[in-house]
Amino acid sequence: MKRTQGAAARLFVATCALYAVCAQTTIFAAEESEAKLDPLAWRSDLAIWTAVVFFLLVVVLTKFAFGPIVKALDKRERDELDRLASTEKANADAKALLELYRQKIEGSEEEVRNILGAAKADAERRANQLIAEAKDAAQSERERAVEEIRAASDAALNELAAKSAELAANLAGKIIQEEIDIDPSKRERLISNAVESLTR
Amino acid sequence: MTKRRRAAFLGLDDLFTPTLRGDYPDKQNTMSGELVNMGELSKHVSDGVEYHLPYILGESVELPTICGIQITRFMVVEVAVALLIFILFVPLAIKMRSGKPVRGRFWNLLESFLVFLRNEVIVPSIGKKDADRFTPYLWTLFFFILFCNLAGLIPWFGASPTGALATTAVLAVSAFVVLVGSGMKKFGVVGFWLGQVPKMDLPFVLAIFLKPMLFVIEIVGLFIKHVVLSVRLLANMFAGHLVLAVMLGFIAATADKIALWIGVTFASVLISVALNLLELFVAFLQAYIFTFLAAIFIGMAQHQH
Repeated sequence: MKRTQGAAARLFVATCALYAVCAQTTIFAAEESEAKLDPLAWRSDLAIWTAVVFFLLVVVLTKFAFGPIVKALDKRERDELDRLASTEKANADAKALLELYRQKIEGSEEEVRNILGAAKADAERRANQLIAEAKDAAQSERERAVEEIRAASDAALNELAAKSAELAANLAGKIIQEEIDIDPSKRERLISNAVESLTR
Repeated sequence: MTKRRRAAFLGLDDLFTPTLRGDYPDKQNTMSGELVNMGELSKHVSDGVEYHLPYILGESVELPTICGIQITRFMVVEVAVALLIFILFVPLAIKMRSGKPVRGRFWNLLESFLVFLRNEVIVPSIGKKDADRFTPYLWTLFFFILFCNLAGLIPWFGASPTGALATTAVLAVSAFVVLVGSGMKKFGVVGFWLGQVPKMDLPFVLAIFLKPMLFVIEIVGLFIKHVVLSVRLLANMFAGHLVLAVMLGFIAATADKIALWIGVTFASVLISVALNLLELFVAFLQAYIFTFLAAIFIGMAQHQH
């Protein structure tokens, strides 16, 4: 602002000096009364008045109106450029973020596919395992049942054999009893045969 | 209604006063059989020591003499214009201080003028780097010329001060002083004046003869450009107002023939309205041209050949 005022002061001095020089010449020699009606006639009073009014107007407006307005317009221009730059940056950031999210979505889709594949494989494996276990269990159950059947059968056979032997023994005892009772020689031979079979 | 009463009704009575009194017989012209003094007509488009008032308020007001200086109509108008510009733009500057856009149609209108001149006239002519130093001066120049031009279109406000050579010459001289001052500040006194000669690769012998001639031509051209600047504005404004005055003068000239007077009045008013619209355009155009050329000349001084 000081520089502007200095320049304005120099302008004023230069203007006044120019008029001072002009005032000494015949330029201002026109008759004022006639000159007022003739637009081409030179009138020093109006010229100096205009110079003073215009100079003061330039100085006052530069200080109080147009100088501040130029600054305000510059500030507005700077602000708008800053806003534009920040908007462009925000736009670039948003695009980068969008790209990141797009990549993430693509990544997550792959991940989902992997998870689903793994789950499917796991499920298949588990199913196979369960089937195998079930087969094993069924097999062992069947084997156990067969074993039990076999054991029951054996037991039944043993019991049958035991019963049969008992019956045979009882029958044989009864028969032997009767023969022993009838013939003592037979009894002694029988005893000796028995003793012999036991000792062998 | 007599001729004088009809003319007085339209505020044109003083056109007839000298004629009826028989004054200025050497300046009388014959129009439609009646004598009309053209010297009186020109008073309405040139400077004077009295302010013409509406008929109902009286004849006119004599302007005073202050400190030995006779105040004239143009001087009053110039001060009024300066005050008006101050009243308009200082509040605008206060509103714009924050750098945010102003609110309101009127303030936006004023701002659009400023921004247009800055972005479309001053910056392209002078360059972005130097433009802001000259912007306040060129804005002031534009609005001072514009409002002085428009002042002539407002009834009873007075004629346009830009219709006088003294006013337009001072404005052109101010542009010249700004041009030379800023040029000498940038390039130095010698550098500025020598820089007026275009740089040419001439043989030494030719350069000795041609460069001084070119220097003289360029300097004379520099002066002529500014003289033309002032004369262009003066001629446009004065001629427009004179044509308007003559158009209205037809009404007075035919005031004694009632049938003719009615027809001429109707036509004159219509033509005057159209010419006023043209004058409105010319007022803006001439202010723009003056500022535009001043900006170009300053730009040429800032960026030599």
